[in-house]
Amino acid sequence: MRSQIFHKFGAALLLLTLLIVPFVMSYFGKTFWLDIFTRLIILSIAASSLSLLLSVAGLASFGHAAYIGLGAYAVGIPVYFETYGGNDFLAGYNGWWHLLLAVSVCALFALVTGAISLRTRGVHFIMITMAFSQMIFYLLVSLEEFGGDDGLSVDLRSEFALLDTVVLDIEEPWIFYLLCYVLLLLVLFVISRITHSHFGRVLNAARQNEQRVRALGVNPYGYRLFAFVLAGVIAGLSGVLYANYAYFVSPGMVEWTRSGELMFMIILGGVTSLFGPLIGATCFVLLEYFLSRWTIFWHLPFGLLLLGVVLFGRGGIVGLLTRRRRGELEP
Amino acid sequence: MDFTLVLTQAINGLQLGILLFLLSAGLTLTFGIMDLINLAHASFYMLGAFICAAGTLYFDSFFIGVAIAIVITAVLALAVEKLVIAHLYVRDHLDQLLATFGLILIADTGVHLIWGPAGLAIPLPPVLQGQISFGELVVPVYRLVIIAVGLLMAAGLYWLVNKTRAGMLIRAGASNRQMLSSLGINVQVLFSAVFVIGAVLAGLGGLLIAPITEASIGMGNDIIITAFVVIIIGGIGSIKGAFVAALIIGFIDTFGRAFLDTLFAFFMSVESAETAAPAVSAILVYVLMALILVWRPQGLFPPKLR
Amino acid sequence: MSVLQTNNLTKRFGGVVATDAVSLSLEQGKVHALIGPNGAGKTTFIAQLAGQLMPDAGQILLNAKDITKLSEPERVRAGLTRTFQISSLFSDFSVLENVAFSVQARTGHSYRFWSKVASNARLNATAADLLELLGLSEKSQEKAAALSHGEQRQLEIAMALATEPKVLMLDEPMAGMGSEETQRLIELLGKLKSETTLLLVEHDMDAVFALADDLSVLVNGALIASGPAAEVRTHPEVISAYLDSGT
Repeated sequence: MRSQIFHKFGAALLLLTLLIVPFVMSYFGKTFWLDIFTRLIILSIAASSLSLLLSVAGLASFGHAAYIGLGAYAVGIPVYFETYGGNDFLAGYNGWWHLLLAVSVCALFALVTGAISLRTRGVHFIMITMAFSQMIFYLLVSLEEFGGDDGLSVDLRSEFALLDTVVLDIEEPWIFYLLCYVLLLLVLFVISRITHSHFGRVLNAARQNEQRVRALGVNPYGYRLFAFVLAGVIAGLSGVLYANYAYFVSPGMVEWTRSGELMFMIILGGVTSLFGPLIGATCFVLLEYFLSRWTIFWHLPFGLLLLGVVLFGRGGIVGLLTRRRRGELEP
Repeated sequence: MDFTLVLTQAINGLQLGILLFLLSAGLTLTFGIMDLINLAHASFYMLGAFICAAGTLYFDSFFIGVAIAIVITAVLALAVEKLVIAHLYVRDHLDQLLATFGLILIADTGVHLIWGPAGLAIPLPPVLQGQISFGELVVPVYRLVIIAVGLLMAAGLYWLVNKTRAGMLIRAGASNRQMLSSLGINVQVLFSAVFVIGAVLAGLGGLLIAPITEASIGMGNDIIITAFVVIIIGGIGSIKGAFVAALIIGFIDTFGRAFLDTLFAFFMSVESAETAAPAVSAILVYVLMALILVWRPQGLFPPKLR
Repeated sequence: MSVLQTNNLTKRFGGVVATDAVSLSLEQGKVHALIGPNGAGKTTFIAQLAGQLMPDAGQILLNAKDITKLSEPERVRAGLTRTFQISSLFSDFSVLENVAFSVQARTGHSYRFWSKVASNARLNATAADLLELLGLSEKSQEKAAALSHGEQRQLEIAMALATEPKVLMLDEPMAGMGSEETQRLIELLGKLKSETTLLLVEHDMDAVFALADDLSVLVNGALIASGPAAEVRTHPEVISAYLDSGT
């Protein structure tokens, strides 16, 4: 019980910090912190969606960056057509349209690839999800019209209007940050509810003992597929945000190393906690920022850290904190 | 369609297939025997290329470069196996994946530190530079060398796995790990040996392609996923499957890129064919993978027992 | 009346015939024990009935309906449930959650994303009743992994009962239990037979003779005798085959 209270307190503190720090920093003229924190929040949304698969359902999908890319291109392509003409039915700055596009494309892609990859287990599943995301990578590279390798720039952010009145001017950095922040809270809330729902219990049970779930008369396939689609859609949402954040989309967002980084964030934060991915993404982005300022060879300490966390740091940061708290340290 | 062009592309496809096989063989062996999934395989591919380039430039001889690259790759592989990989055999696949992803970051940065951010080209000795013509068909000698070396390695592996005592152990290990230790086999030595053989084959693949593409940082990181596709299609753990699937993918990918636009032009305008063909050929291999998985989730040649 | 019936059920692994044209019939409301030496193919037989293994030939009928082609979960929903020889539980769940999930598995689909399953009173109440029946009430909040071996065996049965089976197949339920626990389980199974038909695979002969109405003997994959327990146990072939193997 005590560790649960500690956990909740820690999470509240972290969320509060994320809300306050960028604004305080901006006040003192360091506006780029708002930028860094925006990226951090967006990656947290993506990592949280992946943790629904990994931590709750036990599905190690290694191709999650594909959905970020699809979501991002759902902004990039309509904006491109708006600017350069052609395909009028797609073109536009309308944010609702971008969202609709991202959600439907991600859901469809997740449905088809999930239906195939969920027929397999373990390492097959990991490799197949990886391969499908690489397929999206090569597909985007091959689309010369949309810049191929170089990607597309997005000149203006999505426009969220109701009855021709702009309701959310996300061109304003702090409004955009607040939007991302609120969406993160929403996503965390939804994931928490789902984890503890009837549906979540099926996923959870199938992660622990699939044979038994089947012997109780439940085929986990449909439940897993639904979770796969849901996680894909949420990651697609983070992709829409990312395109707006970076004013840019490119196949680089889909490279498998990006999926690896998302996975790293979850492991770094701790797989058993709802806030693990958030903590992991926070550490990841901050480390990346400080290390890359210090040296261009920042991938080296990063790689060593990843190795260290996997080999020695079971349970991630949350595990470390709660173990200390209970006075148990692993031998 | 021009027959000579088809033949040329067939040779390109064969070359890609051979290269994929060299990379996949180690992946599928280490998975089949040690239940290890190793992303850092991509790094040995890159390291083979860079060490060969450095050796070639230093000694002014491609052949010395190749010899040095093979030896150093083997030593590095042994060190990595002892220091990191050996701790991963008992871990789950996700841990293995992430730890070896860490190794990739380390290897990529290490190469950057030593050789700088740009790639290294490998000059070929004159004897490998020429071309051979068969009638209208003109083939660079070096391509034939790659194919020959690859086929030689495939034959060597076939011999090793099927005709030797070590191979018997490897096959036994792939189907039943406990049997090995009950036979009194030093499992650690066997594991190290298999890992090093796999890494050297990957390094060989890298150094063979480097004179054509040049050695560059992260050069293995994309092709490793294609190698994954190869072993998924072939059946994870099967050398035979890896060989067959590597050739299938080599041909399909090459022919797709070369001829899809012509094919598409039969039933759509040339303009849309030229837009659609690159996109379709980019995903062709993955669509093939998906279809095969729907038909046989364990791949074409799944190892019999687990 | 026959509830569960197999016709010439056959399964081969390579050259080995694991199940050799077995035709067996379970009568409504009775305890049918299946005995045989180790390696006789009892577990393989159960696995085919449960749908984890597909037979090479033959038929399985549940209430005269052919279920040979049904998947494992479909058979459970049709009323045919099994327990496992080695307890197969959800080790991270509490004891109550283990059973509550089993109840949940029976009560229709679980595509319910919002309400908290842990506070579903109906699931919890049914689960608590079952735990009471198995004598596990005091342990309901403990993690399944923390239970003793005997308690895990009981939880295993509670979970199977939660699916409200018409036929319950018990794969060595007494294995590794103390004599007191065994006695309790025998009593419980005796009570169950008014509600469900039992197929009991068991090595504990005292338990078998205490419970079984009918008895079948499996040797090398083939049925050598099947019928009322009192008759079969005196069958000479049974005595020689079964006692010779030393089990």
